[in-house]
Amino acid sequence: MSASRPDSRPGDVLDRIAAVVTSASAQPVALPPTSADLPLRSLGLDSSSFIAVMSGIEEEFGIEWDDDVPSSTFDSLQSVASYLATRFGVGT
Amino acid sequence: MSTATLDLDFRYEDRPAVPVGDGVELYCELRGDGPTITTVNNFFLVAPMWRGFTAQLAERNRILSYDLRNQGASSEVPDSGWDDHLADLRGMLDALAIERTYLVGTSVSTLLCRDFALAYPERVAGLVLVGPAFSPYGGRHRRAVNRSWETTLREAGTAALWDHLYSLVLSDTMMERGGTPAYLGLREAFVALLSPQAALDNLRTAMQADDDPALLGQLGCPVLLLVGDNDFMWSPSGVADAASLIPQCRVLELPGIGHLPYWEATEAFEGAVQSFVEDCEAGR
Repeated sequence: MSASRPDSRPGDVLDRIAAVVTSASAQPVALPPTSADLPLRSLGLDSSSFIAVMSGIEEEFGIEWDDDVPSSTFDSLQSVASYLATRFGVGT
Repeated sequence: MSTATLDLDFRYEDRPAVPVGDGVELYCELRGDGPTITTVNNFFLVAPMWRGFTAQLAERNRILSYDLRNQGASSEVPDSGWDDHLADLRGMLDALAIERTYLVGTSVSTLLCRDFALAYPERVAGLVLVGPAFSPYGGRHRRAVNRSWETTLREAGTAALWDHLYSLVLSDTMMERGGTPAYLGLREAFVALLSPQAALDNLRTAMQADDDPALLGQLGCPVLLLVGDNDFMWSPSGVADAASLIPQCRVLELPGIGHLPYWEATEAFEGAVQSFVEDCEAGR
């Protein structure tokens, strides 16, 4: 469930998620400047990179995922940001 | 017992496809030198994953991994049947000039390996059957599982199928160790990898396999039965009963391991296969 003190700094949430994705990948990932709607599943990440993305977002924003997060949450950087805002108040 | 890193490599290498007949081409990876060990995917694995499961084996053997038709980077061929996979395997071995090989099957592909060994005994040096989908009692369990996966995929989609598989195929310790990030990350990897239509076609094809336990008794080559004792399809008595049906069978049960020993206990898996191959080669 949610951690007690989720990060709520506004403004740069998308950039921070993009940085997590980039650093989590075992292979270089070049995200285009307008990557908010880019499908995360199109980046060719392997399983450990996907897991690292999940853990990295937890660490970056001080939240904890739960098993009920729908798969659609990870359709794009924007959908991740929207979920973090709605569920944890990140960036609001 | 579990030593898994949760790392599954899906990255394809730039390799020429191997023509196997009738316009079908298969993606193949061939590494190492020595006795040939061919890995036969089940319908949820792809060839690149075997790099991580056979790195030690590749130091002393020649490892052949390939994608089945309608899977990964191999040809898509609508309306394919069970026997097409057997013909593809023979065509691939012919194309690569491999006269004889050990076959490693997992889950439903243990039935492909069984049928290939029965159809072409001169091509098979031995079978490694890992977390088999067959039963010594008949096929109702396997078909019920297969049908439930097909229904889940068709009615609820790929992420729901992952939920179904996750709850069955991983051991308790693997699930606990990975926690929520592993559950979510593996789910996304699974959704990214799986073509729903191809998976549906493959699950339907799997229903064509013959589940007659007597077929196990017709195997003429050495067999290694490798089963995790946390495998949802097996019990100790079931393993013993299966082994009693197979003429030249040795058994290795891995404690605390589920349906995917090559992933959860890669070191033990590779060690068992190496010992099996060495013993078979010494006995030839």
